[in-house]
Amino acid sequence: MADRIELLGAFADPTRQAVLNLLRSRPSTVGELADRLPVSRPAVSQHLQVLKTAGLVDEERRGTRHYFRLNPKRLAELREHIDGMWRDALAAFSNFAAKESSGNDKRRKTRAYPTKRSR
Amino acid sequence: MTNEEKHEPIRQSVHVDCSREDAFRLFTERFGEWWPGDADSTHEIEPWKDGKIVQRTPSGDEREWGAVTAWDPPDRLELTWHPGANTDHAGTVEIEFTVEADGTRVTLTHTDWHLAQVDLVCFAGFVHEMMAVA
Repeated sequence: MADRIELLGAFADPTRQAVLNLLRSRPSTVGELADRLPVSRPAVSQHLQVLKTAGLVDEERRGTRHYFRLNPKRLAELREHIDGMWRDALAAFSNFAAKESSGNDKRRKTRAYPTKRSR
Repeated sequence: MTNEEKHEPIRQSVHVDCSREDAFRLFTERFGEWWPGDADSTHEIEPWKDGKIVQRTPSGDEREWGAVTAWDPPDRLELTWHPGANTDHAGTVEIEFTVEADGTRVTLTHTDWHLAQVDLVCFAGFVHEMMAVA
């Protein structure tokens, strides 16, 4: 389990955020990342080490190449966060729609049952 | 061969106590009244194909959150979705309205959610917690 301060530090750097954003689409090698960022390969390597130590990224060997990918746990957290966001949003919508349509019903009922009939 | 990773879409659905027509209209035209986001900002879905989803902040900034890519009332609505970020981070959100007993079922499917901006979304809870401690 990575230290929290370490995690926050890893996360605070804009190049590291860019690396994380690229890795979300697909696992990549140091060279592939360096091609898409305005920094050198050694700099990308260094950033990856920081991200790895913080538990944000892991490394996978395929043949002779080393691929880096976003830690699946972090991706699961992102999914959970967005899932929860939609759950809250749809619940809010359902409440709003119920209130709006019951308001309409009342108005309809008022019109449907007008004044008390006198005998 | 591709390294592209597969991510299952996020799916959520809810029952709504009104007709499909009303549900579609309330969802879109009155988005800003029910969206549970930042209460200081206003939110709007421009209710037509290619309409924008816009957040306006108290300081007057206008931020584009996405665009309407399909507008088929009262069945279906499709949006690109990148709140707080540019279009590199856009996922697709489809909202379907189907008739069910006593109302309407609203089903939402979010594909390419994994492209959402990490610094704004992923560790928001964590950063919040850190700030509370500090």
